[in-house]
Amino acid sequence: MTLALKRRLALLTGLTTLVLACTACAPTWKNVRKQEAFTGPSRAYVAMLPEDWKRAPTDSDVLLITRDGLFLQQISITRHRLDEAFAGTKVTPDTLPAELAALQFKQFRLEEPELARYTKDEGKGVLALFPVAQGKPLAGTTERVALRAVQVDGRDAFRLDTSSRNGWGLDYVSQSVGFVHEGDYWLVRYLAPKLHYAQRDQATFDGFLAQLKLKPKCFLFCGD
Amino acid sequence: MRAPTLRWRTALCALAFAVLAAPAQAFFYDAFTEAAELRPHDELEQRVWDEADTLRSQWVRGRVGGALDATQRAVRASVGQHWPELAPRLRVFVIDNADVLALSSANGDIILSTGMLMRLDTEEELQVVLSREIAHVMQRHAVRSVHAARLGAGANVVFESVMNATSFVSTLGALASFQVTPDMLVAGGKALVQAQLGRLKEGMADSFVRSVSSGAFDAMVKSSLFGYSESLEREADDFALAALVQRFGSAQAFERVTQRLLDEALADEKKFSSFYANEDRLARRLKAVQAHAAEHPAQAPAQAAAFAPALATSQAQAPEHSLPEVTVVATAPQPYLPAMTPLALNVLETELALGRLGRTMRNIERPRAPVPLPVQAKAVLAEACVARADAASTDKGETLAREVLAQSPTDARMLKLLGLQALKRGQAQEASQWLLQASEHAASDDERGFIAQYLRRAEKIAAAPKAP
Repeated sequence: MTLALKRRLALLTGLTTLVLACTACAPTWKNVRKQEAFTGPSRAYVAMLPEDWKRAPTDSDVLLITRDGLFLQQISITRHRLDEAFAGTKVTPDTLPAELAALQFKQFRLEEPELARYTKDEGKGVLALFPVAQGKPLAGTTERVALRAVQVDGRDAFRLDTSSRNGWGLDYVSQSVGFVHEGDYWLVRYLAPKLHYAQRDQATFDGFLAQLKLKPKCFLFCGD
Repeated sequence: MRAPTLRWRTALCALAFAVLAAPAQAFFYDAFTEAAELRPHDELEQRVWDEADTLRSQWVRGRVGGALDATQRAVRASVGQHWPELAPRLRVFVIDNADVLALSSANGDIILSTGMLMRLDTEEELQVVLSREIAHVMQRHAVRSVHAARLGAGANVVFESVMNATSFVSTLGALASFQVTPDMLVAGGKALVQAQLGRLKEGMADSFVRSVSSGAFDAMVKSSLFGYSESLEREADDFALAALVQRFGSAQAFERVTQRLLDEALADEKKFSSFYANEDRLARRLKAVQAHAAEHPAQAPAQAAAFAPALATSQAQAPEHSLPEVTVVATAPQPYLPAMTPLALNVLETELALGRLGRTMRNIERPRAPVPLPVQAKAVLAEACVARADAASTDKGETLAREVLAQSPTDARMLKLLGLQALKRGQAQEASQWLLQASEHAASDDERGFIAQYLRRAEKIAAAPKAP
């Protein structure tokens, strides 16, 4: 074997190994075979993931789980710094849950796209088969169904139930529980189509919420 | 291939100019002059009507009952009274929506929101809005807008040749020489200019319509509904002004409504209305209305009936698309939409919930003699004032809350408001007093739950060590 050939072989082997290693490291959805505890990098919460659900890959405190697909049901936990949670409005650790709920409802309404949004690409070729923009809630359809005071692991919170309709005419139900914890604004949200799925997985969400534990943030030398 | 001669290029440009610059919308789809004509007349118009049927379900959902039904019936009665021939062909819906909405579809659907009705104080003012929407229907603005878009795509074929035959710079020069004015930038014109400066469209005009996905066509129709060109809007204004003068002797109501909406749009803290008119358009409309008023002095309705022969004469001179003659109806002062009162509260509460505090306050505080607001409006105003968070508004809000409590001592909402204000000032004891009363009179467990949270906060404040 000549030296040049050996070098090429070594390079090829190295590249192949690198590709395989990258593939192995590529984040994938994780199946939750039986109920298990999950905690994010800051350890600010411990969530019990329900059996047979799937968890989206994440390296942050954001949690996203689903059983049958994100458009069919999803439970999420998101975290925002208080000064970034609601554009244009200052939120502090003393902001009451009812006020947070009002801000959150406004936020949901602001996230609705324009009714007559039309991009040229949507009308052509393959993209015309996947009108993803239709999946977003239609402007003006997000309605407040219920608002009540709740507690999450002993901490005062709000629960805001809303409904909306997307461009395909499908009604969605959303239950959002928001609170301030460790200097951040947290939102635990359940989103599912009203038809069949919302009711079917309601008990799972209720159980998820009941078992959610809030902890002080810790990044190093944390005791459990 | 030899580059085309100058004469050939000039001819192509002239042809394209003729397509664009001519009032293309007027070439086709003449306005309906009578109710019997109100139907689709070709495949394109049928498709627009079909889409309009689909659009209705996105706005009008569920059964209409109670106050909304009564209000809708009252509005339909007004249409029947002032447009007796057209009324059977029109379907008027009132939707419980706080936004300022007035929409019409090609098929004769007219949709008004309770938010819009809140801005109209008399039946005459209602007719201002209805007349414009009827104008859009009778003058076939929806299909004309879609057709203009198709024409714009068709003109691409001509420009394609020009662009292939000459340099990009020359093409730009050719485009600039057409002196594209805002009036020409209807939907098709815009697409044309964008396409030429971006990428070229494929195919002929007819296949443009046939090849778009139903979603895109749907959106295009919606765009034509929600974004008519300036020239079409002016047509609608002219139609409405003529209708108001014919029915009420003057178009003063048009000026009042336009001024009111413009004042609100200018003062509004966010985009006024996605679906009615923006400030610029309202300002232009106001100028046109004022010019019309200067040319047509107001006449009393009783006198207008005596002018019937003159009306007949003026109709002969009037533009092609004149209105059917109608008996002028005198407008005696009457309670206007009495069923609106509970709906008005929905509008105010929605605006408050969405944080449109300025809009809430203006809607409550502006004088509207024939339209009584519900008594709860004062409580909504108090909450809006307090939410503004500046000292003057906060004081005003608390004063209003105390006024409400003077008349209704068990109003839990106002008790809670005063408790919260005390909480924000750090006055834990006063806060607890108000909040305990509020909890006692709260209407629901949900409300009591939040009051309990406030009481816990008050306890925390009371328990906190005082600063030395």
